[in-house]
Amino acid sequence: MDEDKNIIGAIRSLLSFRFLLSALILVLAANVLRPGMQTLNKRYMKKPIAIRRPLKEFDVSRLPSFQNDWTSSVVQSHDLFEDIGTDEYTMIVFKKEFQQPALYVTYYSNPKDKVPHTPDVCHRQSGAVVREMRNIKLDTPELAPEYPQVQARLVILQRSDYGQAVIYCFCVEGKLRYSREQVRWIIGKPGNHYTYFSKIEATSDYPIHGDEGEAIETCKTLLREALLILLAEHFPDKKQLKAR
Amino acid sequence: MPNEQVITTEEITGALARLFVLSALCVWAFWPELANIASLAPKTSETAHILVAPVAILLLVYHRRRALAKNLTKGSVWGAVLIVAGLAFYAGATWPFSYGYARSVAMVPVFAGAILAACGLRTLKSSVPMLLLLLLSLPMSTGLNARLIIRPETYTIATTAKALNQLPGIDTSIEGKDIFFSLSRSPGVIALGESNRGVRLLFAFGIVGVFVIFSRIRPPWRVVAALTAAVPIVLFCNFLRLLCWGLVVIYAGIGPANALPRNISAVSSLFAAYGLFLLVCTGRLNLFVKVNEQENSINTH
Repeated sequence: MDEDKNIIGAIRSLLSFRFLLSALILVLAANVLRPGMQTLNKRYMKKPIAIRRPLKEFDVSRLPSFQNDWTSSVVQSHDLFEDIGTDEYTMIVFKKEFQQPALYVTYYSNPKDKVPHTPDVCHRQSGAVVREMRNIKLDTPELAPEYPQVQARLVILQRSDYGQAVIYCFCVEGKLRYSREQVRWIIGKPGNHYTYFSKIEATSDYPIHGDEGEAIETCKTLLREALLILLAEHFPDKKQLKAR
Repeated sequence: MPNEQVITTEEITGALARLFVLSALCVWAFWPELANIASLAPKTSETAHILVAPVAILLLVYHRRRALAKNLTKGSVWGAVLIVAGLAFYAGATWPFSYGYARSVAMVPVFAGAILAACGLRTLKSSVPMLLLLLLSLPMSTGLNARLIIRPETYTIATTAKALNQLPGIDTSIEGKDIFFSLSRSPGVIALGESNRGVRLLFAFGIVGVFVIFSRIRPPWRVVAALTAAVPIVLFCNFLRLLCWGLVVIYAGIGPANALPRNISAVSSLFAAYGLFLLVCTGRLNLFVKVNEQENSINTH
C-alpha cells in the first residue's frame, strides 16, 4: 500500500508547474539551443580579410629611431615559422654594436584561426625562465586621438647566457589589446563584417648581469614606431572591416 | 524540536524522481561537453581526477544524505530561472563568442537550477560541495591554462631547485621548465618532458580538498578556515610533488624514461594533500581510528 502511495506521489510531483517548466526548458535546450546557436554562428561569422600590404614589404626605413648606425635583415628561415599557422608574417632583426632588437609580426584573418601563443608561454618551451611579466603603457601620441596610450605586455626572460626583454600587443580589427582573451572577445563581438588579428612583438637582448632598462626602452621605441606603420599601411582600416 | 519539519517518504520519493528526471535532461543537454570531458579524462594524469570526481560526488551525497533529505522542499520556480541563466551563458559562449571552457562551466548553474527546481533552496545550499567538485573536474582549455600557470609553475620550479640545492653535494640549475642537477659530478634532469610539470595536479589536489572539507557537516568557521587554507595547501602539495620527484630521481639514480618517480611523487603528494586538509578541518590528524575507540563506540550503540 505504502509503496503504491509513494509511486503515485512521485508521479503526482512530476506534474508540478515548476518541474514541468524546468523539464521543458531542458528539452528545448537539448534539441534546439545547440543547433540554433551553431546556425547563428555560421550565418553571422565574420569573414576573413586580406592584409592591405604584405608584412614582407614592411618598410624599415620608416622607423625613425632605427636609421643611421642601425642595420636590419629579414629572417628567412621557413622552418622557424612552420607552426605559426599563417603565411603572413615577418621577423626583422636590427643591429647596432651590441644591441640586436627584433620585430616579429604575424597576421591572421580567419575567425577560426587560433590566437597565437604569447612569448611568456612560448619562450618557456625553448628554455627561457620568466623573471617578470606585467602590463605597461606606451605613450603613442602619433596614434591619438584613438590611442594616445597603448597597453602592452612586458615579459623579462632569463636565458642561460643572456637576458631578453619582450613587449607585445595584439591588433584586432584595428583595436590594440594585450591578451589573447581580449582578442577572442573582439573577434566574437558583433559589429564588423570582416575580422583580422595580429600579434606584434618587439624583443631585445641584454647581458646576463646587465640592466634590462635599455632593452625595455628599445622594445618600447620599436613597438611604438612599428605600430604606426602597421596601422597606417598594412592592416585593413575600419571602413574595410565594415564594408559588405 | 518544535519547528522541525517532518519529511515523509512520499516527499522524498517525489523529490528524487524530479531530480532524477531533471538531471537526466541536463546530461542530455550537455552530452557533447560531457562526452568530450570523458574522452579527455583517461588521456593524462593531469585529467585523471575527472574519473574520480563522479565517485567523490556520489560519496559526498551519501555522507550528507540526512542533511540533504532534511532540507527537501517541493522545489522552487527560481530553479527554472537559474537553468535559463546557465543556458544563456552557454549560448553566449557558443555565439557570438566562442569559449569552450565557458560552455562547460555553464553546466554548473544548469545543474544547480535542476536541484533548485526539484528539491528547493536549502537542498541546493547543501549541494554546493558537489557542484564545486563538478566545477573542479571541468578541464580548462589549454590556452587559458598555459597562461594562468606561468607564475605558479615558475615559482614552484624555482623553489624546488633551491630546496634541492640545500642538500649536500647537489647543484641545481634551471633552464626553461627543466631542473638540471649534478650529484658527485653525475648530471641529470628532473621531470624531463612532462608538460606542465611544475603545476600538474592542482585540480586533483583541489578535489581532494573539497572532498575532505565537506565529507562531514562541519561548523561554518571550520569550512571558511579550510577553504581559505585550500590554495596554500594545493600550492604546497604541488611543490612537494616536484620535490619528491627530484629526490627519487637524484637518490635512486632513476633515468627520465622510468615512470616510478612520477608515480611515487603523485601518490605521496596526494596523500599529503589529504593529510593537510584533514589537519585543517579537524585540528588533528585522525588518519586511523584506534581499535579501543571503535569497540567503545560499538558498545555504546
